[in-house]
Amino acid sequence: MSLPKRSESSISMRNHAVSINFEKLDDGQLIQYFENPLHVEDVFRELLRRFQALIYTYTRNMLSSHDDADDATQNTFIKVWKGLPNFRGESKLRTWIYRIASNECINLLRKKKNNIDFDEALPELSDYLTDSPYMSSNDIEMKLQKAMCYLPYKQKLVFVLKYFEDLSYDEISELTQTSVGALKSSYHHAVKKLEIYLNVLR
Amino acid sequence: MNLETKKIKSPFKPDAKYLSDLASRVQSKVGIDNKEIFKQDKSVKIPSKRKEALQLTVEFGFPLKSEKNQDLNTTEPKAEVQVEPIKAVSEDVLPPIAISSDQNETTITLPKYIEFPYSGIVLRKFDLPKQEAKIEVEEVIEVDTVEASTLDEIEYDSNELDLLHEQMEKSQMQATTAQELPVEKVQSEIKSSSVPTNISDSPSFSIPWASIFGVAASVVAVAAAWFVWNIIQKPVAIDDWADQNVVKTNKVQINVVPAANSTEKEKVEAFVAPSLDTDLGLVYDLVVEEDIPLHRNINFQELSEQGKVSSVELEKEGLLVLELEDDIFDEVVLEP
Repeated sequence: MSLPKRSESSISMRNHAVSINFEKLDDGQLIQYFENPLHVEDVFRELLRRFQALIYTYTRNMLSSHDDADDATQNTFIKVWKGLPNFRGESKLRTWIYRIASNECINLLRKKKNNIDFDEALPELSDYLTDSPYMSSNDIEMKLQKAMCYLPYKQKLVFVLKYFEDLSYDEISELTQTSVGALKSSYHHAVKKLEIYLNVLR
Repeated sequence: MNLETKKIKSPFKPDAKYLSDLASRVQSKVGIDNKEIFKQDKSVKIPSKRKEALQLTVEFGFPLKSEKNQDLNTTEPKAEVQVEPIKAVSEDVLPPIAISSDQNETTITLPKYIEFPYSGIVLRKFDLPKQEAKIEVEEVIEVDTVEASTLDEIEYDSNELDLLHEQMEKSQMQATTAQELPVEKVQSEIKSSSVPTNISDSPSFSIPWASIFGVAASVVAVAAAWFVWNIIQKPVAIDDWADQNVVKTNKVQINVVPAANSTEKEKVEAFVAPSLDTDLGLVYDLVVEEDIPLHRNINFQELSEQGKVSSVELEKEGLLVLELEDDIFDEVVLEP
């Protein structure tokens, strides 16, 4: 994969750049520094520091497989690097990154299974929940993950974004281009189905 | 289980090493300098110095055998401490002193040539009568200190000097004995003697200004609070308040008179049916119909507000399952 190289001048000027503590900036302020060639790399590293673990956990919740989540996270940040110069700031940075990650998950699933229907559940994903790295052995957490595999993929997407990632309905609406009412209904039904499933498993 | 009330976390927890590895891969893929982003815990654990094990068990009774199977009582004899009995103070051991008694106080004057080694207060024991007696525990002994100038002026012959020397030795010995006597012992002895006290405690009357000021300040504070409360919020009359909070309801009286010879189902139907909205037909089905329809198409958006609330409540109770439309939202499309 060939990626655009930053200009040599920006690299040479980095040595003279004023050191800024990017950790103290919020997302909006951070993006403004991305326009400055002196700070491009530091801003991207700060994005990695902030979002990498979140995106890995999110993709892992969606795909269950560690290897797939690893690929999805890596591809997500490569696309963030490529897309940041064109990021217009119309949506929140966090929402934008989650949107890219969601698309990466869909792309990965499409590569694995032809004619995949995202209105249906993908119970085969539960196979990845045994002997997998970076996974706790908490019983109830594992039951919930297994139950999530039996949700239709779109409901699962809404549930994961709302329940685990704590995104607001407005953010999810922005991410999925769906009305807030439909999202609330979808989340409500996902929760009800999961509760029934967990009660049966108890 | 209620997922809303009990938050369940995600079981996936990547460690810092993996995240650091992933970050370095991403950085190399995008072609920027690889820098460590996630600080890994590189602290080296220093093994703590091993401590001797402490015996935490508690043994009751007398331990007869040690771990080495030795008799503890015989191998390690106890160190015996002999406590000498405290010598009692008596008039015999006190130095010969001249006592001159005035009206109220007794003055004990020591001879000039005796160097009294103490500060001036000596506890002395008296023979106490058992009933109704005045006790003076301490007696102040006024010591006439000998000045050097006066000593030089006195002339002594050899006999007087011998006598003087003898008395000095004797007084020093007695003084040393008195120093060793514990004061507490004497005090406790005196206290333990049953002597009724005839001291009448007459309480002195004084005006409790602090209490008066406190009460006055409290009254002023309450008055101020009442005043401020009246200014800020005028109390509403109970009738006005009641009028504002009454929820006016329109009573609907349904006069249903079931026929005497009607069946049980007809009776229930007669009571339930007139009170139900058309939206609540589901409830009607559940209550009245014997065969509950498994599927019923309801357009949720066309239901009235009450109907929507009712159907959600029914779903919560597990009496109804609302199926979703398939196409909730469009597929997520990545921006070009």
